[in-house]
Amino acid sequence: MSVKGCRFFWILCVDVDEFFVYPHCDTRSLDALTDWLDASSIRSFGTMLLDMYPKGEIQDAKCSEGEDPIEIAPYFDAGNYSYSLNAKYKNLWIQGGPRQRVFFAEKPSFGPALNKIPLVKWGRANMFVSSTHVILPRSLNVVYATDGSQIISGCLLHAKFLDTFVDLAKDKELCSQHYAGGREYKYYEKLSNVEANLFTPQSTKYQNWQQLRDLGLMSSGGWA
Amino acid sequence: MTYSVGYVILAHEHLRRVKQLANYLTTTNCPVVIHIDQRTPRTEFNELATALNSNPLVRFTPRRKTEWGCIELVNASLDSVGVMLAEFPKVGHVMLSSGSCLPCKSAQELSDFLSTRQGTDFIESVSVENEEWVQDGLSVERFKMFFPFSWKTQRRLFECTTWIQRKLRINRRRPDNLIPHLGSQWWCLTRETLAKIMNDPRRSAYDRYFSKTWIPDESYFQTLARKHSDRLESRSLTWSKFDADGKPFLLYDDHLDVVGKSTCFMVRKVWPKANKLYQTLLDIDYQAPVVALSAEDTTTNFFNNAHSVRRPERSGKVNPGRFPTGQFAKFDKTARKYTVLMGPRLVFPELQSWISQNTKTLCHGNLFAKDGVDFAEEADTFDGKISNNRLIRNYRASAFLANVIWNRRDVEHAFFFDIGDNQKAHDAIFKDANAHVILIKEAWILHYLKLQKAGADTRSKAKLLHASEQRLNRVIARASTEAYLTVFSLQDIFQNPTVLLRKIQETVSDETVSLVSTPTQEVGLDQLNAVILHLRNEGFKLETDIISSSIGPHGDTGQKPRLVDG
Repeated sequence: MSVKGCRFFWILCVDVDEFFVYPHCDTRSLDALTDWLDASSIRSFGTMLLDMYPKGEIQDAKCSEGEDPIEIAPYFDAGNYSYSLNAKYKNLWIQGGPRQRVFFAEKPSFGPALNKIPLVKWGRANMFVSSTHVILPRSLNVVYATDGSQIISGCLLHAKFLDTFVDLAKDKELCSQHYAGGREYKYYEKLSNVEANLFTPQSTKYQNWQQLRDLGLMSSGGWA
Repeated sequence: MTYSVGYVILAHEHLRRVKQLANYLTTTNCPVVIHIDQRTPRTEFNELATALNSNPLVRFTPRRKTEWGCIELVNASLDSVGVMLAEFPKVGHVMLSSGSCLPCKSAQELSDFLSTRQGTDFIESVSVENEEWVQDGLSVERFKMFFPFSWKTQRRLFECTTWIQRKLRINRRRPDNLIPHLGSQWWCLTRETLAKIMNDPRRSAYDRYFSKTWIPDESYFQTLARKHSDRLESRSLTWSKFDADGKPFLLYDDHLDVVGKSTCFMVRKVWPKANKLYQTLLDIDYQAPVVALSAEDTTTNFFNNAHSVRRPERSGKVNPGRFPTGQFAKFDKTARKYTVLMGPRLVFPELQSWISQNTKTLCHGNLFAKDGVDFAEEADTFDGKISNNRLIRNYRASAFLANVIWNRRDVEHAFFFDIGDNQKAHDAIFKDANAHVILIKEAWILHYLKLQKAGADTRSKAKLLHASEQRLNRVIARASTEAYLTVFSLQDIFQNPTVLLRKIQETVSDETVSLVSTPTQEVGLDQLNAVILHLRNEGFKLETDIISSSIGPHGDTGQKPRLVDG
């Protein structure tokens, strides 16, 4: 993927099913965030993809036009993530969540990458290497503090597990266009014979950004 | 308005906001002198000038190039003060403010406050020799060296010249032995003091000296006010706080409540697009909540929290904005203290329920068992949706452990870890300063005994177990071991089991409750001795000797901290 013609603009790059949550997003505009990032000389903003799922079977979670998908699929896994460093690109590699727990229980290392950098101060030399997971130049991937403190970061609520996911998993051609030949959709197919339900009593219901901060999934850094 | 306060405003951008501020101040009859940076576009300046030209209480001073931290900022302030004193003879106090300041109490309130304190100067002024006012950067050196280059635009030259001067031990002579003072650049001084500073016969010498110090706007008035003031209160009436990265905290609409409770009269720095904040605070009828002036400034407390987030703290949780590496990764701890019991369960099989009954600690089974994850109360999943899938656990053992502790950081944890478990977690446990490990040396013999009872092939198994024990000892002996270790020998356990039990209870809970019951001991002494003898005859070199049944004076009770044997 490449974005041409953008020079030193902040770009927010999210999929249609991703909802951007940043510190103070309930009271401050994106403008306030990018102004502050500029003043702090921060050029990229790291997030973690949080897979949201409904209570009950996925195929029953219908989201009609105008409805908030996060209200229909408001649950997420709060604390089963693992982090490692990709030495090549210096980006974090986050895995875990319901997809690893259910689809990749036998092969946890196949668990999808949940690290994303959706908000970037775009320059002519920049490029996305693998979706918004990895960017070049590498310095843009260092969205984290390495000294034990915390830099500002956010979450992307991923409204993937709605009834549309079931249709997608059935469409073999569409699946093959996805990462690694739609590996995770194949797993889902096997699973759909059994009851496909990602919800358990230990699932957490989404409330607001403060909740995600208190769970340690994101941080307001020095932005008070 | 009875007592007149004049405002000097220094600004370089967002002139629309400057206009609003000036209009508000003049409506309350306060004269305003404005200085706009020379680099601000001419059109913007003209717009402001035309809008305020007809206002009799507004003056502009000639535009200077006021770069951050340079003497021109002081000169611009001096110019403006000169105009203020000359043109508005009724002004008693002059308040220095920036284009991004806002009054958090009405201008009337400030003038009432100052009218009862006529002759008192309000300026934060801290002696560099006594106090650490500077958060990050040069302090005393600001006054000892020459700073001909800009820190912002000529960083290399700046660093070079300071480095050389440090080597040469440059120590500038201060005119008249002035005692250098530092403080917030936003002050409120009396007409008298300002006039004395302006008309000081030695002023040109002072100006020359300060023009080559670093960030003179934080020291010029702060030092000279000390010379001329009759009564000085060392505090700023303008609230301003720097964040951990050295830039002022920005104020947003959602800070209205916090700002309202400030004990100061003005606040900075306000985000220029904070419409609600501007609307509310610049409303003529705005009344701030009544706050006792002697009260602690809650505004500062509020922002201190943000400070702590940016401090290297070992929170036991990584997130997209926190991933310690190198030295910092080495010392990164889990979220709270926990206990790892290596071996005791082989002696006391019911130890888990015994701990759960006698303490408030959350006691898991063997968290890293080869055949699955044994969470407390045999749960399928733990808080935070950690599954009991052993493959996921083994894939990132240290993340698993850190997550278990973090997700229930409201309680103390304890779990068992025996020689038959997945040994991958060793690294994670022993490098963690929050782990308290209670270890029985050569506990593998007990494990072997268990296997022997079950009728398994013994000789090859014994070799494996022995090798595991040696591996464990190597891990413990590593320099990176931060865990707190208490070691018991098999002899201690069998001769005086209560010592171990008391130690466990002490470690897992803070309270010292007397032992109500003791769990049953599974292994008999005779059995153990038989096995020890058998293993010796098989050619294993054991540390544990045949144990006599009499309870002798127990030697090592495990009280010694960090008893590490390789």
